[in-house]
Amino acid sequence: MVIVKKQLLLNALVSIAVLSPASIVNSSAISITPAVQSPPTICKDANGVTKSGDLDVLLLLDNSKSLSESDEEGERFDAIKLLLESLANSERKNSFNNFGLITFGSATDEIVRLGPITRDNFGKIFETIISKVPNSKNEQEATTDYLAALNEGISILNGREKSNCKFIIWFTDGVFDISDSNDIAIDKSEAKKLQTQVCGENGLAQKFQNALINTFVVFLRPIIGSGYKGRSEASRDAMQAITGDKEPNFDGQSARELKAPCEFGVHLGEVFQVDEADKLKGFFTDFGPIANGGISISDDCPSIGGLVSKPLPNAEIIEWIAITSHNSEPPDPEKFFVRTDGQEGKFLDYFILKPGETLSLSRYFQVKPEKTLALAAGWQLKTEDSQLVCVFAKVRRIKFRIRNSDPRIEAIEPEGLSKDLFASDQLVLFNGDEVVTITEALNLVLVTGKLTVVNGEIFGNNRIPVDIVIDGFFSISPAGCKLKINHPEGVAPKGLVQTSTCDIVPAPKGETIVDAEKALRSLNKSCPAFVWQLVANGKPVATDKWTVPVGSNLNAFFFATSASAPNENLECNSKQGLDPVVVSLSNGKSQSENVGVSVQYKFLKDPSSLLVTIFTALFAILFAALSLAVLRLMNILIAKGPSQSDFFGYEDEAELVSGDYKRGELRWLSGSTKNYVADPDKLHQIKVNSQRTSLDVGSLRFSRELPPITRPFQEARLALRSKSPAVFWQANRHADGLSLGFGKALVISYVDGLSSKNEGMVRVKVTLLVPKRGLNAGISGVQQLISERGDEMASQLFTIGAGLGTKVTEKTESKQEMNNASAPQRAQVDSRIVGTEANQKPPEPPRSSQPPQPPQRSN
Amino acid sequence: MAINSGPPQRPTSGLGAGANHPGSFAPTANIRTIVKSARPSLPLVLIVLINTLVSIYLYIIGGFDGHVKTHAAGLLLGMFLGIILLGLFRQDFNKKQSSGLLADWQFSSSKIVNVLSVASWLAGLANAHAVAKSIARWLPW
Repeated sequence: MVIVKKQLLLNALVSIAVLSPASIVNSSAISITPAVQSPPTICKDANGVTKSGDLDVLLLLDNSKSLSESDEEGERFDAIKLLLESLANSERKNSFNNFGLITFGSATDEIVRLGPITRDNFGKIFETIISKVPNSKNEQEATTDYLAALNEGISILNGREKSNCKFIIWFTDGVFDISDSNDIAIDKSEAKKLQTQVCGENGLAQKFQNALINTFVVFLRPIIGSGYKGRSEASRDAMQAITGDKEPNFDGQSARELKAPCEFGVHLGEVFQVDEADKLKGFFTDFGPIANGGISISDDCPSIGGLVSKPLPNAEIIEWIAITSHNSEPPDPEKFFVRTDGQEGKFLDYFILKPGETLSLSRYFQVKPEKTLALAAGWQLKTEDSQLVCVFAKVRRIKFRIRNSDPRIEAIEPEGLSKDLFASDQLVLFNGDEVVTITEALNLVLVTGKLTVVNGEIFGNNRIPVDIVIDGFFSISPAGCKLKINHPEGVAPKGLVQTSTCDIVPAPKGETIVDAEKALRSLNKSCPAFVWQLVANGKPVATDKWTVPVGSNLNAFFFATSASAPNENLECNSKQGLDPVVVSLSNGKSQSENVGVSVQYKFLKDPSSLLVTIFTALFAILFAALSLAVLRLMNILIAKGPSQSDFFGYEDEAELVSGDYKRGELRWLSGSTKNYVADPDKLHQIKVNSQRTSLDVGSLRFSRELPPITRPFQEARLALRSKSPAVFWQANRHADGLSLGFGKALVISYVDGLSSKNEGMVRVKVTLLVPKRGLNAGISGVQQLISERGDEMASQLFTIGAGLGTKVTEKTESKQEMNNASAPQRAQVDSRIVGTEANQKPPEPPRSSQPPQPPQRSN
Repeated sequence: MAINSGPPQRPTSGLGAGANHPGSFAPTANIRTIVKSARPSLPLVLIVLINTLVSIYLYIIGGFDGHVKTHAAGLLLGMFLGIILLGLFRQDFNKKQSSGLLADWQFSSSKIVNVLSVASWLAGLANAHAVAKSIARWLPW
């Protein structure tokens, strides 16, 4: 049932074939499948004449909170993207595809103003939708009030040109609900309100009928409670009353009657229920080929278990075949076959991909020229693959010229059309609804034609609308031709700005005047940035009136500016209100036609490269300076020294003497050079300021040094505030103290610098920082660190002290070595780093001859 | 003499734990302690990567003559936030490195972040160019 309904929907949309020039003369929507009700009347004016203007598609999108449940994954946005892609890629030469979007929930919001959609701007349109209508419950509205959206939609479309095909796609997953309450009394009152507003006197349904708006309701089936029953029924009535659809697809039921005061009007649209959100993509994908004038060629759409098309007419009259996929993958043409004369061949042996028409889920193909004749009436398209696809075909534009002499009928478009197709009585001429002969037609001005083709049922009762040109009369080509510019926002084109071209084919046999005087006057008034002029057969026409040369078949005219666009921001939107160009023939057979003018552009200035470079440089400098400032601030705020609560300090004094092998040794006050027992009484609290930027341990003071502002990524460090020579474990990279991240530390430094030197012996301070907690914390940590590092560091201080005057070299080597060293090696390298004054003399510690004294321990 | 492979981390329990006064005494044994190494901050590297990708993405979707707001966002992310993130990473990296505990990845995390930050900055510059173009377009010169 769903498929049948879908087929009905597609057939209903077929009449958007107004976009197909061939169908402009007279197109009618024909249902392929048997249906109780007739197909909807699409894109026709009150007199039943097919409209020839732009295509206006207005999407009313539900943005209520229920969407976060019914379409949790936001499938509707993927579907909308496909719709936009389809509309953008079906750009037409002489009219616009326009798209607009209004959301509704508690209130309406015009997200995208109805305007041209092109390959250049559809991406931006989609981004706008995504950014302004996020798939987030927080951004969605509690209630579903679509009355305001419908009113706004009809107001917008009524403001458009009458010749435009006007479509509303109304997407909702809910019922009318303006209170977010499931109270029975409220349910009844809101249902009543909806009925009155839609079906009452001069209600919305009546307005939609009067404006001939084709409305398609895409109804994502909601889950509703009993408190919404009245509103649910009223909502369905409203949808049917507005569309005139007697056979909606609500819950699988076919026909559904309306409850008074609602009643059916003209069948202008369809209600299409979708059970799953992921099926939305298929509906919106199909809209592209349909909007391009394609007609489904199979019973099922999408096909299930393989597709076999109906017998198709001669391929000469088929412009393209479109295949759309209802899966997430694009259709695979390799899996399609052509059956003709009882034989099967690969689809791609007969068709080639149409350039520039490769979309996400649809592909367009054209018949290979050399295979056209091979596909005689009755050929079929098939696939045995189970992929879900729809296949559409578009009939070619056909144009005949009739005359009084042989050949009385001549095919102008397409050239070389087989005479078998029209030589006998297949072509029927009409004056309005009345059938006329060729002789009679030659005395008329407007004649239409219908060509009967074998297996042409799918295009309309075997009779395909064709254009008729009376010999001697002119024909504006393509049919419904407009002089237009549709330039999306961007830099102006180089050279002259010009509209599209209209041709006069065939050459008229009498004096034919193209009068652009009024049109140019209104254009120059509306778009004053330029001086516009008429260009005919490639040359500007000074008088704004052009006499078409008799006998020439290459007659073309357009509007162009007299000079190229100035490098400025220019905008013009004169789509409406411009006078038409009048083309008239006066050779005893009076003929006059209007050619519309539509100009829309937004040219952006191409700025000076120098100016742009200067601004870019300024931005770079500004942000670099700003970044450096912020990084400096980060360093100030984040780079902190140790916490007072984490470390103990320890300090003792010793003498640095020359030991065995002239290595420096520490001679403790006890006299021992070998053993040292840490004194717990010398363990003390360190002092750290509140900012943790300075550290006092024993007699030493460290302060935080931040990296230079121009090198903010270097590490901050704790630098020793003393001029005395000292060695550190672990030293920072600058060798002037400790790093901020030390776990424990040992510093051996001269006492009072050189003044402590006395007869070859130097008094030094041994200062430690050990953790308060953990393994080897406290006094045990002191003992261990002195045992492990004391001798080594004393030796280093002694050696380096002896070589004072070469400090710089020593430090540089140390740094390089440290940089090259792996992490475990660095600890050893660090201990050799010393910070001393360049003018200090080397200490001359005397070798101790005294035996080691037992350690003193104070309590 | 056994040497620690680096400064020990403080246990929360066991020997020495809770020693919060100078008088506490622990045995002076040479103990080979097991030290847990510090790895570069993976979340920060990922944030830097995402920031870089978003900056580039904003430039692409902003288009050559496109949305000023999009490019302005790309400019802020690329030229400003990228540098701030690099600063945060370096703070963390330097601290771990100076503690001697850093065990870097096979591919230097520092180099990875530097390259990403440069890319982010260049993306920011490209966005700055687009913003500059939009501004210059509305000036009379």
